[in-house]
Amino acid sequence: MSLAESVETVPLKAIKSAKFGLLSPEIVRKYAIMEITTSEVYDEGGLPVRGGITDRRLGVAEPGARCETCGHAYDTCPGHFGYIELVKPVIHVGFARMIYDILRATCPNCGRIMLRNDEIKRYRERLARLRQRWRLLALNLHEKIRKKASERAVCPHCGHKKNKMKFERPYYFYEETEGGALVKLDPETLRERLAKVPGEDLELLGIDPAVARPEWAILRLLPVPPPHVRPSIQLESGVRSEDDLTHKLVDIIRMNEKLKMAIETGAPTNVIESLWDLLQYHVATYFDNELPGVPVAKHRSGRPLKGLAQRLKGKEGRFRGSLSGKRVNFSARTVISPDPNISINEVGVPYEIAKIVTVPERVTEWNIDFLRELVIRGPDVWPGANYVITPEGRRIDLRYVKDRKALAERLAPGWVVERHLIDGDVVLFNRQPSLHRVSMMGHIVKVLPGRTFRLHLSVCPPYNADFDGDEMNLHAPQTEEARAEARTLMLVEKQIITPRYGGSIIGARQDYIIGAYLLSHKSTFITKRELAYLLGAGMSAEDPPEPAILHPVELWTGKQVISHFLPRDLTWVQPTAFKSKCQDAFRCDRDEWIIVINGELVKGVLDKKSIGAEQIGSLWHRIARDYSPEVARRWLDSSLRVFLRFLDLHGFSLGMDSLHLPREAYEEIDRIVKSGIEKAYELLNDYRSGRLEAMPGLTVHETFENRIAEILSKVREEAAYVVERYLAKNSEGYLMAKTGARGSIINIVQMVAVLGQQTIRGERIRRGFRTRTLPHFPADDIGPHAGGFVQGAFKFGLSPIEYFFHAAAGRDGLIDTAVRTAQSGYMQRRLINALQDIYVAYDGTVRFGGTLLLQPLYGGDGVDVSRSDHGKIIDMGVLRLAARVGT
Amino acid sequence: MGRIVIGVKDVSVIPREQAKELLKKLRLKPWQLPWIRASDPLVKYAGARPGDILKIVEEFPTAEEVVCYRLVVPG
Repeated sequence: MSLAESVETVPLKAIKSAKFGLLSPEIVRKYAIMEITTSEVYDEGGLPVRGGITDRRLGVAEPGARCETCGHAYDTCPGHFGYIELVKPVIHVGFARMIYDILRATCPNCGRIMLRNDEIKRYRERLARLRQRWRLLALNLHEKIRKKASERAVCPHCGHKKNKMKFERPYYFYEETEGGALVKLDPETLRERLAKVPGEDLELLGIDPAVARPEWAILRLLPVPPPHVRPSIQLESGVRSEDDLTHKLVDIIRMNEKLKMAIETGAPTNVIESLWDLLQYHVATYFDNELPGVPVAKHRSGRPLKGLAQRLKGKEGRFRGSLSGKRVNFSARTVISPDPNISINEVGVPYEIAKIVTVPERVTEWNIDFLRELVIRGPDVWPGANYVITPEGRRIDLRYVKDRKALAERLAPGWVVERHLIDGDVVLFNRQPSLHRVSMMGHIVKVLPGRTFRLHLSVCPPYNADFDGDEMNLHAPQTEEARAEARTLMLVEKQIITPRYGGSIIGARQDYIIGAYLLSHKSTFITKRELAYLLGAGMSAEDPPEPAILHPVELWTGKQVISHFLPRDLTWVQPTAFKSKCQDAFRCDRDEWIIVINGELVKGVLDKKSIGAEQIGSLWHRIARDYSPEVARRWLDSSLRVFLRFLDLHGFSLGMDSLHLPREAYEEIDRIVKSGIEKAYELLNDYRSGRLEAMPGLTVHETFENRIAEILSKVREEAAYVVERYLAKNSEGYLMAKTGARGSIINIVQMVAVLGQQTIRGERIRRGFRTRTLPHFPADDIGPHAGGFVQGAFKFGLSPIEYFFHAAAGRDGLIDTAVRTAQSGYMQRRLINALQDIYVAYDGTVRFGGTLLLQPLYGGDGVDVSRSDHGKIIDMGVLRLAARVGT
Repeated sequence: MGRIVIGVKDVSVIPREQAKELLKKLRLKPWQLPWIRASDPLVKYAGARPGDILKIVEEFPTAEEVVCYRLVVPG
């Protein structure tokens, strides 16, 4: 039956509401087609036993057989329920808590709710009022009524003095007698008590007696689902393997039979009791096999059986695994690798994938020649097509078409061709975990040789991707509407500005930054050849600028190259990372300030602060905000390529000589380290002799630890100062740290001066041996060295002890990140689940799920952060600047 | 009962007629507004009773004055 047919034949009804209740014994009996009377499953011939759990009257779930109830085969038989009559009733574990709540609020003698008539009347009126208009408050009131009724000890209706009840998870109930002894209440007694509670009293407790009488939560009849719910599998060896639920049901029936026998033969009560309890156990684990305090029911192999709850619960359960999570066609997944030459909008797709993932294209007068060509090329040659769909809806697989040319001739407007992905198609690209909206963006396909997806380095941060083996998914939208949305809303260039704080999440990083710095440097001059090469890399369509130097050779400055790609009307002033002495941008004779006037970079070097990602109020932020996404993207595409090509020409590598310090520097560092360690030992002496005074709120030892950490971290700080002073200003290490391309001064200090204090869980190293961290130290040594202070640096090597501490701290860091990601991931999931129904309505209000109001105006001011300047509508600074420069 | 909680600039009970208008404008039933318990000091300060709608003006660093409506519920 095709989908179109079924829609026409099935009568449509709109669901107005859903109500949840309990199955009454009558309904169970009415729904059932038969009673299960025997625990035997198959006879010697391997045929289902009549009255057993695989009885053909329940329906058939395997091909070949016919259902004895409806006469249909496995694919059309809907399945029919059966039931098991339990000899003694048992508690439904899912409702044990509810049973307890009701029993506590009602009188065991007369069954009435433990409230006076006037109270009942008052609450009933209030409920009626609330239910009309304030549904959520009604729920609150039920809870209050329950509490109030539970507190009362003497029944106002019959005067019966109620004993205290005790509930022991998962399904045991006790009553406390006057003597204080606990008497166990069996399900039969509980059932009797619950049956006594009148319907009107149940309504007060928030239960609708029409659909959920509490005594129905104590099971006499157990519904048996048809085999469709618990299909058996035939293994290749001919052995039958039954579903977990079938196993569990057989256990229940067997226990039921044993109990019946025991009662009929008049076995002692304690035997009956224990059998009854076992029956309760089996029924409970049939519903939920992960109950706290209950041993897990196991398969013969030792594997835990799956109860009904386990089928629904959790990641692989029915809801998250089968209903919310679906597998899709027209998708692809492979390893990702970088390609700095494609646009940030693009994704490189391997030929192998482009030939499998298709896009349906409707034949029109205008594309018929093109599509005919694709059909002729067939499924094996890219670009080709895999399927042709006729106007009648027939799908023709081009793999099996002998004469594709003839088919191509028959093509006419109205047909649909499922053609291969080609350059320019829009697809969705995604990397898990999909934590925010930029985890899935629209990309333009670029079919490339190779077997990996290629993506631009600047789109790694939104996906949080790197190339150490990461895989990503690609989806090809199948309708015109979906493609249009992907292109206008999801395309990478439309996502440059994040709605989180209005900054750009995409921008230059690492190589690009250092390349841009070198290119914008004052000393950079470019020959004509190089200029042509760079402008070509940037795909410039405009004439090159006039050279800055005409004689003896024509030379251009790096700033000219950068200016060539800037928007013509851009004006911007900002400090660089090198800003030190100059306070006024316009009176600075060094490159400490960036000044761009009318798209001309007149002063300043580029660095992370000006073109990096996530930098608010930067040159790149200005471009991304003030110009269209397309202009911004084009600037980034071409400029980044230029920066990289220039870096190729220039060359950049970090070696030992990039980390050279003069002798004086080392002398100074040695002095700093020595005095630091001396101070640490002085402190240790104070601590040992008891002269150290505790800081407020801390013990003496804590004080000592704080102080020593302070002293030792100061050592690194002071060393950093020395390193920064003596390190050559044009050394690669210094440039990377200063421009923000990679690393910081701290990293250089760790390489050339001191590695510093190593920590485990944020504390100095203290564990290891009984009285010391390592056997190389005297007992009770808590000095700087024994505590993990590393005096060496990478350039000169660490001592074995230092190396060990460094490794320990490094491992701790790895564990820490692993734990943190797991914890924050779960936190994120819970948050998203709780907040997913919140939206900004068209009237600017923030609402929850179409019912509740959260804010009368989004954020209090109605500002869309992604379209604002620092949360304000306009940035006055930009306007003032424009006025000063006079554009 | 003299002082107002920090951050809250003003609290007042909205007269019935105005409240009706407000709810109509926002297309809400009273219970769909954020709630505030009658035992909250703000409610006592404003002298409101359950069923009233409070207009609370708060001060925010990002958006100066923010108006919020809350329905007083018993409790």
